[in-house]
Amino acid sequence: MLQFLIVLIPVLPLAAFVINGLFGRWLGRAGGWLAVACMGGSAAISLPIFVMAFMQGEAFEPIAVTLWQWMAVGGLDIQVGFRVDQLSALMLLFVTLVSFLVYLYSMGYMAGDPGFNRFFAYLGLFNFSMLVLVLADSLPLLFVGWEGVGLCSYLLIGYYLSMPGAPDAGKKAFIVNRIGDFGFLVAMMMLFFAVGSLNIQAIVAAAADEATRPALLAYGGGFVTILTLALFLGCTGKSAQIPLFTWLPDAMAGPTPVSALIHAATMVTAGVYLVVRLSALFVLAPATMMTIAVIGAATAFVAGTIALTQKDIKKVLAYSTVSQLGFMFLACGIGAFVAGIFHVFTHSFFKACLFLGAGSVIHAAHHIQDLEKMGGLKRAMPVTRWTFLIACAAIAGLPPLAGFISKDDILWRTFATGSLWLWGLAVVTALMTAYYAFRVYFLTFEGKSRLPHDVEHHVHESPWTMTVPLAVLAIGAIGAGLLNLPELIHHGEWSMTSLMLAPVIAPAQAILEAHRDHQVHVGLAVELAQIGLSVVVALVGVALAWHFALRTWPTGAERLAHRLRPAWRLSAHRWWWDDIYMKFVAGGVWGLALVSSWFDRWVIDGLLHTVAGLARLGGRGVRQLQNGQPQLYALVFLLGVNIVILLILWL
Amino acid sequence: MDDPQLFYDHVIESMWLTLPLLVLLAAGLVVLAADVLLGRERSSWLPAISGVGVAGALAALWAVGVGPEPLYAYSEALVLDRLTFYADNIILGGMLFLFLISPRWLEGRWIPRGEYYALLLFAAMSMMALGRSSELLALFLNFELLSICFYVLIGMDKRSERSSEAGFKYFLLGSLAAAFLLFGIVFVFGASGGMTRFSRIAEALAGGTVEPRLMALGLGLMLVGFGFKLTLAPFHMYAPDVYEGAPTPVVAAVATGSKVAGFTAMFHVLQLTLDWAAPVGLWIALYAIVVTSMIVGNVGALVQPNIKRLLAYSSIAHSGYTMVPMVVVLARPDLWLGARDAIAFYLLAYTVMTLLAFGIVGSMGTAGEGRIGAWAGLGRRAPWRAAAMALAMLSLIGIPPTVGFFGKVALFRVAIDGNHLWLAVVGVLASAASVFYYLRVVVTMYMEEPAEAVESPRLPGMATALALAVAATGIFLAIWPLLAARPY
Amino acid sequence: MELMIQGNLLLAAAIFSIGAVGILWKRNALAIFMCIELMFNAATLGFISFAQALGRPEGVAVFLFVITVAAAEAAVGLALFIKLFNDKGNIEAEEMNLLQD
Repeated sequence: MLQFLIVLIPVLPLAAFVINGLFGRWLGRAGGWLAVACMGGSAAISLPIFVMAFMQGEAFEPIAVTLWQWMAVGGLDIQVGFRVDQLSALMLLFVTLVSFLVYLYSMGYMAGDPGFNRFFAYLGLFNFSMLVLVLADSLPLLFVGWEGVGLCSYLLIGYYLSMPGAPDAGKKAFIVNRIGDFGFLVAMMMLFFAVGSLNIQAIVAAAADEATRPALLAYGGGFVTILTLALFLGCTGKSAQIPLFTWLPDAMAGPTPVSALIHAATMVTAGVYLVVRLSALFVLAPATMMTIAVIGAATAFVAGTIALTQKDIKKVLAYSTVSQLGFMFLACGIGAFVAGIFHVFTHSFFKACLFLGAGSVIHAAHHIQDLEKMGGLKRAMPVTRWTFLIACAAIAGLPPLAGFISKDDILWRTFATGSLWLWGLAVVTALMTAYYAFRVYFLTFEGKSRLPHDVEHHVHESPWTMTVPLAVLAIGAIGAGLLNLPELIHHGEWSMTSLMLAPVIAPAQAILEAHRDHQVHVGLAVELAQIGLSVVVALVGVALAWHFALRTWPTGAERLAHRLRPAWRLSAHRWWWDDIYMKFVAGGVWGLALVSSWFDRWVIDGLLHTVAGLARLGGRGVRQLQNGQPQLYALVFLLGVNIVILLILWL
Repeated sequence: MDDPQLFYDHVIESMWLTLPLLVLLAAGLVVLAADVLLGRERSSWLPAISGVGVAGALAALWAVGVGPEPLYAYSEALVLDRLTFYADNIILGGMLFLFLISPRWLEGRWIPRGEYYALLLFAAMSMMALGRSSELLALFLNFELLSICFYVLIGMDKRSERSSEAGFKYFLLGSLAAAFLLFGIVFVFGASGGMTRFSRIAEALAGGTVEPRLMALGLGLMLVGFGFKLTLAPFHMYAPDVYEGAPTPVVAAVATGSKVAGFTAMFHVLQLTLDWAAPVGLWIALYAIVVTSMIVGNVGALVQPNIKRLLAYSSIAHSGYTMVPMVVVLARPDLWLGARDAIAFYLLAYTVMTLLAFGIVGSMGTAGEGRIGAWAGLGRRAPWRAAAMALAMLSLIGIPPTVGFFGKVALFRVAIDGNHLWLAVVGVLASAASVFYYLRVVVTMYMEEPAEAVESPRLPGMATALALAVAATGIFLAIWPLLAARPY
Repeated sequence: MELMIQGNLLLAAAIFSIGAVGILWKRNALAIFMCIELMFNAATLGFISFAQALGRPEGVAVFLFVITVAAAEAAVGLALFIKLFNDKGNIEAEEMNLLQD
């Protein structure tokens, strides 16, 4: 029974896809409601499973369902199977819940859109893939989900075909993700080579077992380092990390519910999920762990600085997502996998709330997204305003909201590992987070209205289908942190996410403990001090935002921008990251171009052009030969015959 | 066989074993008669009769069934074994699809309905017969029977000069190929001491009493004949022109059923040599043909702006891939069972993908059957058809987890098992190059705006639905490849 | 005996080659078609020679089959030529280049 229900979790959204895809034309709005109902069903199944896993904690028996044998090729035996353990249960909970709320919200947001059913069909397909990704018990199946979510993301980014930039943004996301997929595929091949199986349990077991570990640690650990780096390349693509993060802000061209669901709450966290899933593998490669931590911290910082000055409300939120994802990878990189995945969990609530709130504003303001043209919306849109404020407070890290608890956990653990400069980077980023979040809030809801007059009169609160999801998500943004209070409060006596997830990351933890040279021990006082510091940092950020975005707006900010011109330009131009890409990467010459552009231009490029040119030339040659003369064809035929005869008679 | 009773029993048993062929033959005759009796107004009955005929043949095929041992009919002229059974299923399934899409495609075209359906039925019968041939003369006759059906079908469009020209080209090269096949048969006949039955030839080869060079020459010339039917380079030259000029459903039959039959027959011929050390020259000739096909097919398609020509080159390349296990078997006879299964599964995969592609091409109207540029923006105008076409393209590339991927894995695995790693590498590299031109179709459909007003494609509801059915088959095979990969 | 089969085979091969060259050489589709017939007949000659030499008279029966097939081909081929003639006004092989890259 339970197994049947688990199969139902991804199948219900698939049904939504099929219904809306095939019969949407005739169903109209009813198709949308059916999709909401399907997703609600998935959530209704996932919730008790999570409660069960949460209450039982370590005692929870993972539920496995094997559906059928998928392929059996040369020793590679792959079953299509699902497995629900504590980690999947946690992922299931927020994926289905947030998806359900976004579906409901879309009923309002997308009402009257000509592609209403197409939209829900894509959403259904997306959720099916996402849930397959979460439930998969083998890497190939996970990869199917991984590709599926990428495909839907691509389709939904380009949803507004007529909007300038939308198809291009879709293309960009597509290409960047292919680069990441390449890494994933390479890693899978290497894993099969070393482990002989692609089942996730088998891989983790092989990494945890002293007897099988040497196969992975071949070449002095170089094997597993390259393997995990290749995997991580896949993660940087999907989860928008340096150097592959530029697609995510562009992806905001899609409809706002999509931004909330796919590009904030669920799909982009798949990379973090993968790292935690295979944590036992990653901890075998300290170099990779270090890379993950550094890239995570750097991404968090860079994206944070960019978010400070963006004018488009969705762009701010997009860079904020990139930045928060950086936090999650930082946590994973330093070995605090639970902290990372828990931040995924809380982030999904408050970031979805922020995006949906932004969508509500955009909806009301007739698709104005420019922060400088907003302001003073708090009277007209009370529900949106309060929920947005709560979510801002959560992301800024104000206690006791969810964002505070999960982010503080990451900061604290980074501090405890002793890499102070990573910690410093993270603290500065936290400051910036508080600033940009409240900057958006103040510019949108407080102060005087800067909207055009004709729009201003029509601003109204959104329908219930949109406000109810906002309220639920706001509650999540307040309360989700309760599921993982710091140990100094719960003393291991209550069920907590960290305890629940312990068995999942136990193999990784064991390896980490075994390899740690010295136990870093930091006292209670330091922990309290660090918590205090996070609070202060958050408050300072909020105060700065109040000062620059409300009290002295817009002169104060302008003056500051003028004084810090280089830094401001760096942020406003997004570190010229896109331009660098355009010049060096998208132009066809890869990362090496900066260092050795000559080599690239004359050797690599030349080689590529030669190969491509030869192939093209060959193609032309083949076509030249194909001149339509039947007797020429007969001649080629007879020449072929002669060669065959000569080969046989003279060899 | 001197006892008349025994002879009588043998004929009855033979007819039972070839019941599906007889059903098709009868259906074809009924169609011809019905065409005359019913008149033009009721020509819509003809595809229905044909469809029923093919369905009946499928039913007969399963009623007769197949066992582990090959069964012979008509004094060993035809054989029924597991390979032919599998191939017959593919052929009949594909033909059913073609009968279902043909009525809409034929609308407004000057093609006589009665002859069209009857000849397609006869062609289906000839395909099955060709695949089942187990005697030299039967092989030649079935080969010619199939060719003659297609000479007519290809040149059948009365108002199209291109169709006539395609017919002429197919006719010229086809006759040439038949002549070489016949000459090859002469040498095999002579070298084996006057044997025509495959079983006897195999015995003679195993016995070591055969003049190897003469035998190899015979087999080599037969290979040339097959090379025409399977569009193997350098005997492929007619393919792009014929694919472009001929009626689309006919091309689909030429590209799928005809090749399935050709590969089945060729595998039976190759099976003769299992206990015989073939001269090196034959090996090298085969290697050369396989590699050339893979290269010419993929390179030729790179800069091809016409969709049907592109599919022709694609078909050349895929024949090259499918040949890989054949070549390996020559070197490693112990792998022949695995090779047979791999080839059978790939033929199924290839047929599904190719029929899907041609089904969509056929639904695109005159402009869409030509330049790929006319497909721009199809993703928006006709999302389902675009999705089905994209699926076909991805599958032809062999992207996991499409059916094409599993098929290629099966093929190249035989090469790796048989120590022909380099052949697998060439195959993989060649298919890597194919990404370029297959994806160009996808990119055109989804990411390009129509440059000028294109003729809006007709929406033959039935054809679309059926294309989707084939797409569903493709998806199903991708989800559950083992179901089809273990037919025996 | 041995000599005879070799002689016959050589003759067959020669006729076959003449046919093949003729296909490339001739311009008129009908003439090309006749060259193909020549090749078929050469192959049949080879078959009969082998049958004779190896003492397997049933090989001679091939002759009948091949003639039949050739007749069928001729029927279809001539129909095609007539259609081409109606379309183009001639049946020169050189003119058949409507379909090309």
